Amino acid sequence: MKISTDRLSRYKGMKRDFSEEDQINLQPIQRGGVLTEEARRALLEFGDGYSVCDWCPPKTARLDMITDPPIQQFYLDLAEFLGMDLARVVTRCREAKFIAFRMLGSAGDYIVLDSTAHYSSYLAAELAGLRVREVPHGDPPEYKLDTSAYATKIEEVRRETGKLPAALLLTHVEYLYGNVADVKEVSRIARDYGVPLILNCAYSAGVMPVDGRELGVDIITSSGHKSWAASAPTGILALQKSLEEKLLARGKVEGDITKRKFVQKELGMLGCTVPGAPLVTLMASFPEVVARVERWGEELEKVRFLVSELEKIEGTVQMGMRPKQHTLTHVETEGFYRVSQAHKRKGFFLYDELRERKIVGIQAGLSRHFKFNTYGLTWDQVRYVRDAFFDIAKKYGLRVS
Amino acid sequence: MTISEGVKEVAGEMVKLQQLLRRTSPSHKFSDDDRKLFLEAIGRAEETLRRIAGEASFH
Repeated sequence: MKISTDRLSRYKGMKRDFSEEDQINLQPIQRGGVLTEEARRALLEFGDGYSVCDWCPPKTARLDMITDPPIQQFYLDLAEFLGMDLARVVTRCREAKFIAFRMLGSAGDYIVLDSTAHYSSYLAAELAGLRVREVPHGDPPEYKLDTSAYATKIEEVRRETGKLPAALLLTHVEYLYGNVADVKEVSRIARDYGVPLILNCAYSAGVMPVDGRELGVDIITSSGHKSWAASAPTGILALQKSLEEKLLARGKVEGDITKRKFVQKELGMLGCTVPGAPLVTLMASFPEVVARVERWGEELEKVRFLVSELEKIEGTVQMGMRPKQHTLTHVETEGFYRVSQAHKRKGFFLYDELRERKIVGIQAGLSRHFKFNTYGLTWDQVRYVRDAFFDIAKKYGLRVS
Repeated sequence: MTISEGVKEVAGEMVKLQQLLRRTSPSHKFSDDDRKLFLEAIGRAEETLRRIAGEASFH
């Protein structure tokens, strides 16, 4: 099948619309994944396909055994940084959850998870053949998770099935309001029942301090492209030693004709996971990630400042728990919504106005409520965003007190 | 320094400039340190480019 040159020409000279060099990007899922300088250099060096496999050891041909580039050492450092015993880099956080579910559970088992979990947590459970039982969250505007209800849900599962759930999943920072969960309460419950606790750190590890041992969790999953200044796809699966046999079990299959076996390969990983540029960007950014989590306090200062400023605009209220414990923020903006009702562009007016001021990442079409993330912005950029919103509010006659 | 090393060095200096642009977007108001960093990177890149051009003339 031939494809015309004209059609193929669209793949030449592709450029990104949201250029970070010329605009401020507030996209909630993108801030923590902005590459460091070292990662951008590494991307140029290791962009080719299997670029990390030059020195794959022939006797233990596995990604985590490669020492040049120093992947083997990186996995050890990654685990230590997270307060865990072992770590693997996988394709995405959702694969890390799937692997954990698949290796811990059997078909029909239950997972107990928070009702603010990302959709991929549900799909990962479904693909692993598991059922889910949800822990509820509270009412608006806080939407606080009822962490104590994990015990109730475990009991419900036990009554229904006669056994405990395969695992508990807790989303450390949920994607809707940026609420930070009380991990220690859930880990105490998990320990009491002897059920492994998986902490989904997609929005937390890599931007804020996370110590799995101190929190009492058995497994951490995270997202390199969301929170570790890495290219996609990169996910992290970190675990305590006690779960090594289950999660990192080796392949046992044997070919009936060839008698081939793959006993060096880790079954859940399907062998090697991310053999190229994304993994190297994760590694290259690691020193800066280790340093930047120490500056989390300043990131919170910036988001709290911006929230307090935006709430001066008529009708603007931050949703979720207060004060902000994370830079992912959800605001309701009744004032801008009223403006949109009379505007020819309706809800798109806000996006247009922001774009004109070189601010992107607020979802186009939303004016009544939207999310943003200030992670990694400089103070000048935060103040620039504040000024832009004030400017737009005043332009349309909204009070800024 | 080989030509390919030189090319990588120039690309690295350009990445440095991109990072600076990202940190100062969209207004690009440079501090004195930023300006120094920017000009030094350009200076190194220019010097390397000249060296590469010299090397290339022998190939």
